[in-house]
Amino acid sequence: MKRFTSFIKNIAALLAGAAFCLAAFNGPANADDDAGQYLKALQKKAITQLSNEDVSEEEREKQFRALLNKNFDVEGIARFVIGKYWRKAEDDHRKEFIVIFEDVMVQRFLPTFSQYAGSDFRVTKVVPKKSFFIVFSTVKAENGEPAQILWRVEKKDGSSDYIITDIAAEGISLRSTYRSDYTSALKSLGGDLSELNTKLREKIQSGDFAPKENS
Amino acid sequence: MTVETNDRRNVVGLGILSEINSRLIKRLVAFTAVAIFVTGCASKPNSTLQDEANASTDDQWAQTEGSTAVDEGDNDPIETVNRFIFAFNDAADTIIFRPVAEGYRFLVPSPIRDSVRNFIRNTYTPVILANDLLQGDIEKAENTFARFLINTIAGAGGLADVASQTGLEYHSEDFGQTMGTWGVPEGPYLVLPILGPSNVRDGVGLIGDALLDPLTYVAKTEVLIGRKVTDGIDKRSRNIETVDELKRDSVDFYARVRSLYHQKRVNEINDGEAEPTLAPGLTDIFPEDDDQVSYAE
Repeated sequence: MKRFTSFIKNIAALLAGAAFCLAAFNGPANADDDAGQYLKALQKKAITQLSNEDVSEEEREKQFRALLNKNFDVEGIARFVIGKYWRKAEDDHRKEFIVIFEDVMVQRFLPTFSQYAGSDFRVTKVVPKKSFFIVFSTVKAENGEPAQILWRVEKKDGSSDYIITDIAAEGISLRSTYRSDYTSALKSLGGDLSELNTKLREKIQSGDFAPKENS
Repeated sequence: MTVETNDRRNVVGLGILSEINSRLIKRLVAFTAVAIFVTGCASKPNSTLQDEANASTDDQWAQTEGSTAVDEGDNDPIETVNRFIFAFNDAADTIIFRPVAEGYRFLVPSPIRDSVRNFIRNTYTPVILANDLLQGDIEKAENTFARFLINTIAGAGGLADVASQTGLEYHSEDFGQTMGTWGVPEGPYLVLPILGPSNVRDGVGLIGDALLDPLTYVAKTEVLIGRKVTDGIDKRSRNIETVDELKRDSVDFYARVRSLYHQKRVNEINDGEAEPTLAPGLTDIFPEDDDQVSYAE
């Protein structure tokens, strides 16, 4: 009888341990799912807004801008892409650069996102890192090859919302690519951010960032 | 009579084979020596860098190509020379290659262009197969071998890519990638005349690929150059718009290409996995510690 009770005790301890392990492992797994769910929800929102044919171009751009500002860390990315030159720049020029960089992003990605908004979007896995999540996804346009897109997603400070801090398509990261370009340009401009601002503004005006329709 | 000629042919054949063998072995030995030498050179300065990085960060993936390296010019110590060659290549592209590629695309119908590409790809099979094996990737090696058999037999000597329709997709491997999977660091960025963006490791890799290619030893030089040129024109004809867009889109085209080349190679070495599990020293697409550097004020 004594043996039996100790057996029962052991089983109970084992079950408790198992339950504890399950709980421990389920915790972070749920958080990962959240980051994936967040992106899926964002994609749904983007479809309904960006693929609406009745909306004028102007209105669409406005909606995209709103989505961008709410879900992308535009300011953080803008700071990142000019690297060490951020520290040296004057406050006015910094503010101006953030505004211009947003325009660059809108001109560059509004056509792409509108084009891909309705395509088959799948979250394949979510990998938690120390301070962010990597959300793996595949996007397949109607008659194209599936492309792997990675999203660097962070939790917003002091809230349960998420924010996207980088995108990488087929291993090419948006932040790193722009950073290399802009820091190098700034180096040859003597580190003067206002000159880069002027250059970028000219490029925006001539529509240089917009991808061609049929490519 | 016929027996005699057959015999002679056999003898000649064997003679060529043995000569190829001895030449191949000699070259491979020399090549391995060079590769080891370069590897040693390239990894030495980096290891001190890594030690320093190790001291400051506990994330092992964020160290090699930490943000410091990005800020200090993407490992490009001979930037002036590189920019000069880049400008030369760009001019040559504007005057010769882009127009030729455009003409090729305009004049030759798409199915024929695809056949040309398939044929050239098929001739590179031994190189890809050798690299698959050197990387220890048996699955890919099988894929490469099966593709070769299917396309050579059922695809009329490689003109049609029948294999990809059965799910055996083409993949490319080169010796630069192979060295990358072994943990060889890429070394300083290089722009090669005509051949374009590269780095020390991948430059050595080009020599390695030539040595791994049986055609190097049996085909005439004209044939080899012809294949290379055709391959180049075909590749250029497939990215005319992409390159145009890139040029318009970037402020510093040279820096943009340098960054893209680096990222593309890392991705190829990782085979599209964001987290390198095998080779240390490869970059994460999203390094863990870069915020601190950029946000420090």
